[in-house]
Amino acid sequence: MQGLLQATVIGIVTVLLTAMLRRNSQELGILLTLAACVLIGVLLVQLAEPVVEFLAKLRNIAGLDKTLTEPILKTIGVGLITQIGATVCADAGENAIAKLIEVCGGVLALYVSLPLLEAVLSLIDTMSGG
Amino acid sequence: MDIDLIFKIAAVGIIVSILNQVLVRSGREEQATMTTLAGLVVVLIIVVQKVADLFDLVKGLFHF
Repeated sequence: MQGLLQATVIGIVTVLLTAMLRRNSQELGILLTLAACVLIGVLLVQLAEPVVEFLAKLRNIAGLDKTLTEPILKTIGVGLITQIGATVCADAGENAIAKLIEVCGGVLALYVSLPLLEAVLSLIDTMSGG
Repeated sequence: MDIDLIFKIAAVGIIVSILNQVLVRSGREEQATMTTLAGLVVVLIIVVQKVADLFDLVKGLFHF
């Protein structure tokens, strides 16, 4: 609850200050937005820490291998960073760069989950007796 | 609370824009440009450090 309040306050204060800065120097407004995004992101990651620890506990109970759950966590991280980068670029009016960052994030998410896909492939291979 | 960073950047922005206007009015346009550039670089250094912190945090939490 405290984290949500902090994020809201940071967001509103930044919006007000950015509206003031945009009139005179647009680039500093963009940097202010980026700083606020980073601050809220740090807050978010700190909030997500207990959730990730709980997921690790759950994995231990289920007896799953670490290689099976790691791609999921990595994909969440990739998504977070992609979203922050793409939104800041789109906000600054550079839609082409924003879209390309999103595509990059998508490709990277696929790359990160390659071990999972390979595991599925080898499972199918052993099941079909090959 | 980390909101100090936001206020710091906004303060730099306001000071730079005031200096910019004063310098432009007194006819020193190249100095005004240099002031804007210096403010931008200062803020960029602060923000880049914070972005690196965020990336390290994400890397640590999500097992990169």
